[in-house]
Amino acid sequence: MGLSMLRAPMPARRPSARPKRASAAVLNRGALQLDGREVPLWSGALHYFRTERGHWRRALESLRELGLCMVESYVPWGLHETVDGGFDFGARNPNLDLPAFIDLAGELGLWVFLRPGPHINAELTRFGLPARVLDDPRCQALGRDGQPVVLPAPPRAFPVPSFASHEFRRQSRHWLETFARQVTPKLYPNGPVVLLQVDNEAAFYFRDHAYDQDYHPDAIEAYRAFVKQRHGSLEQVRARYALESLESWDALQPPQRFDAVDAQGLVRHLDWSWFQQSLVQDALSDQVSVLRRALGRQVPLVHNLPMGDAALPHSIRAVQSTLDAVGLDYYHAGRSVTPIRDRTLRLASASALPFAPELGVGAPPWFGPRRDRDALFIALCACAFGLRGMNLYMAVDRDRWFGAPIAADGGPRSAAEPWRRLLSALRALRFHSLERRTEIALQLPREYAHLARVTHALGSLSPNLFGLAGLPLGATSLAERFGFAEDIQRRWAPVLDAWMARLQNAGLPFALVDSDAPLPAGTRVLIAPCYELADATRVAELQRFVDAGGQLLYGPQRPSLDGVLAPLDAPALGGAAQRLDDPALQAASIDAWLGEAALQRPFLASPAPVFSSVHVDADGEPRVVFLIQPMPGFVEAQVALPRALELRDVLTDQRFAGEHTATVPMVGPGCRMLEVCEPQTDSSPPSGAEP
Amino acid sequence: MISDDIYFGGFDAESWSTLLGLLGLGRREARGAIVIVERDDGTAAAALHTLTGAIACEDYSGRQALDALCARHDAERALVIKLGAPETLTERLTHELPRDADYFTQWLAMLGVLRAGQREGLWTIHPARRPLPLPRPATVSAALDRVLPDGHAWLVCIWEGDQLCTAAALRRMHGCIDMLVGPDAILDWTGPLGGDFRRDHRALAGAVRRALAPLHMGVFAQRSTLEALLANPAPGAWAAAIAVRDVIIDPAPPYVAVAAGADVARAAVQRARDLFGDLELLSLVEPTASFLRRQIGSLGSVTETLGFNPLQVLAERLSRRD
Repeated sequence: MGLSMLRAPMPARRPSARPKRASAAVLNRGALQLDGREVPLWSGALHYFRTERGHWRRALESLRELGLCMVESYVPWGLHETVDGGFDFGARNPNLDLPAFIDLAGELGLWVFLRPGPHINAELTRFGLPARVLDDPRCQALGRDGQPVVLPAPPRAFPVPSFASHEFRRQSRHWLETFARQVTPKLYPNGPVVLLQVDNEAAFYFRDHAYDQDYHPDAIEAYRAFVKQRHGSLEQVRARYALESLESWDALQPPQRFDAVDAQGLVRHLDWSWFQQSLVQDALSDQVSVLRRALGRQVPLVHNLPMGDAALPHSIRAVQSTLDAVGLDYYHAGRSVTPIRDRTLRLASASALPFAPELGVGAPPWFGPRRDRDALFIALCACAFGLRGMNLYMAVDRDRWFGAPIAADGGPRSAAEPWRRLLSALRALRFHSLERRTEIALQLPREYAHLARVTHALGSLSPNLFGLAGLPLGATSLAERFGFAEDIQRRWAPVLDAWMARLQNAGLPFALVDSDAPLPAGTRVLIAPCYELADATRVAELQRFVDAGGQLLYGPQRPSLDGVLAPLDAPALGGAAQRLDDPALQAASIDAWLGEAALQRPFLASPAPVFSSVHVDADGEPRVVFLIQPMPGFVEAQVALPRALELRDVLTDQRFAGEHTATVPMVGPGCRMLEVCEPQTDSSPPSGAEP
Repeated sequence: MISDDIYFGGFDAESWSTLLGLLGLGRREARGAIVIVERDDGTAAAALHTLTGAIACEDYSGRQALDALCARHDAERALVIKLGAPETLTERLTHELPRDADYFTQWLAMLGVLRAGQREGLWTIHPARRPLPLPRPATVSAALDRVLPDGHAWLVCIWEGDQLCTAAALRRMHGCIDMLVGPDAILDWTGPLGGDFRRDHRALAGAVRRALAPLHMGVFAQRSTLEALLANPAPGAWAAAIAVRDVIIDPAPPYVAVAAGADVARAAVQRARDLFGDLELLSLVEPTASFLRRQIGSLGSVTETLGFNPLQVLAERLSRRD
């Protein structure tokens, strides 16, 4: 086990906003920094274009009274563009007066977060894009049969645009420049606009199976350039793809279906999936450049990835490469903790600011029933695992939505009160500035995610859909070994799931880290699935971790081939490969970490499966403990206290105190956000006090 | 039949969830299903359980083994899909999708492609379900003309005690369903209510008539009454509830009168069977049968046009509480 290695903590490598030139608004330390003023991202969505203009003021006031400091809205290209090719920003339809809406928000003391697309979805017909653009064959993404890729979204199926299409990019550029002309005078410090988002849920419009798209000529041209850059010469491509007959770059065609039968055959398919990541990166980068140029002033730019994003070709980190931060959307159904945990942990380690640009409060009608308390549960759970900002989507009700805490006429609904309490607590505790410390990290190898994706056996029934249902990556993959000892694509993710279940039950906090994201500061143990095939960069990072004194658990194989199936120099990796799926290894490792290594379990909760998640301030002082009962049923949870303390439920104001433990009643599935307080000195006995 | 500009709004989370719950929508399968991806030679290329993930499939021996497989993995049912079939079906759909048609028509086209794929053996579900016939868009439109005529609205209002706990008004205009509005909007139109649904229903119906369109049907009831009727539709229960105004249907289109009459007949037959066995049943139900014969023209035309009896399908759907 090599416990001595555990004594040297890893050097800190924390994700942070990329350094920018001196500017008025930057994202940093969990918040927007506005010339010394800190503005956390507690925001709420109000669609000015759908809310009667006469209701704007009341709705914004209600939003502010909810405890939100920022209003968010999409800006729909398809509604602002008029049939004659012009744009209406309120001259004809007063509901489209974006500048007036921004001014009103500023007058009421709210900051403004705008999302101009070009794609916005927003449950608008054709996702807010103009019909003329979608109907233009030059703009359409193409399937392998050369036909447009159609998304059957209500209330009308439509052909989706191509991320690669030069014409679509040209049209988008024109829209973004038009938008910028309206907004530039309103940017901070001249106005209240402090945050912008480019595009929306860049996920190939949910037609994201590896072979769904894009076979547009511009995409194929970009694919050839990608392969050329990746492999260098045509000779290399011939050898690595086993395509001896390939005569020129122009003859290189992307794969149209998964047809690999051996390891060598995988290279071409993995490349296709990596290319799709670069395609999204490039498309977003293009939009970022346009906006930065057109705005002429620094304003943080962000993006959001949809539910099921782990099955996409692009990672959070990759998307963030040209942006200030990337967030994830939360629309979980029911009360399952695990999907919220996994999603938030990945986000917390990868994003410069882990926030939810859309935390679903309510939903579109076709999402099925959702109760008010479910949305609150999702918000609490996400905060428990490290979410530091959220946009309540929707805060104000509107067409094709149900369940917002503020009605369409601007009046608060009864569901608003718990949100007001939560937001009040988040503000008072400066929750955006707290941190959840971990010493154990589990790595999600990106190359295995790509392998699971290309071997997905259900075609257009996207792996994304199965991810939404809570299945691990690879659950839908082919049961083929391709000459390896195991079917890697189906094996690696359940191994991590098993570890997480054990660590959670043991009360050991952990991080979940995409392999292209940095390890959290203080990581002492890293668990990394490795098989014969492994990305060379990842293996080098693992080696660096070991060299710096960290303990690495890897296996079941020592990597011997890199991502293009070229031999890998045998890495030392601090010891032998192990069967990470062996329950005995898992149990023994955890015993050792709790024993000699003395990994921290602050505010340990019992009985399992109840567990806690602790958030500390910059001085390491615990400020908030989340207590989570993931299973149905009532339990009296015991929380170990480092000294005499009181835990206050920020929603109910119940107090639970003790010298060494506090007893907290939990109804599951449920989550309590407990403020850590000094014990009250008055004579009234707190609820849940020790006998 | 569904407008591109369809408006949906005026529901909070509770009122929308309650409405869906009453309709029996949104329930999840408790035990999940198995999905097998089958190669042309009948072996499995991949297999998973929808709740737990990948499952071993090396020993999959074909469709005759699905019962045993479902039992072994505690699955409700199995879906078998030929390798490559989703791609094939998607491409066919792209070719056959009527781009300019409304969403309902587009969905009928999609279902048609899926159904054709099922007939070809590209996918199958086990145990087999009785497939509903797929009507043509024109026939659905014609049936809709009778069920919700153009320029009219439906209204459903459900109370919990003296509070309106959910409501929905559905309007059809210019041939398309163009509005579905919930209690927020409806209460805006009515102003404060008294709290007695037997009296308030007139105010609600009048407000929706003024704001949206003439009502074709209005249904008003207490939630507990409706839940009991949907959970345990004993013969005659609906008719009795309407008779004593536990459920108010106002206005009541002909097909609802027929359904209520059929419910009376069903109750009578059941009662007679309990008392007399199968003797003289026809004479006992003759008065009801005569009533039905007079009304059957209306119901028959809907059934004939659609190809199936919508009330029967609805009743089955609503009574399926598993």
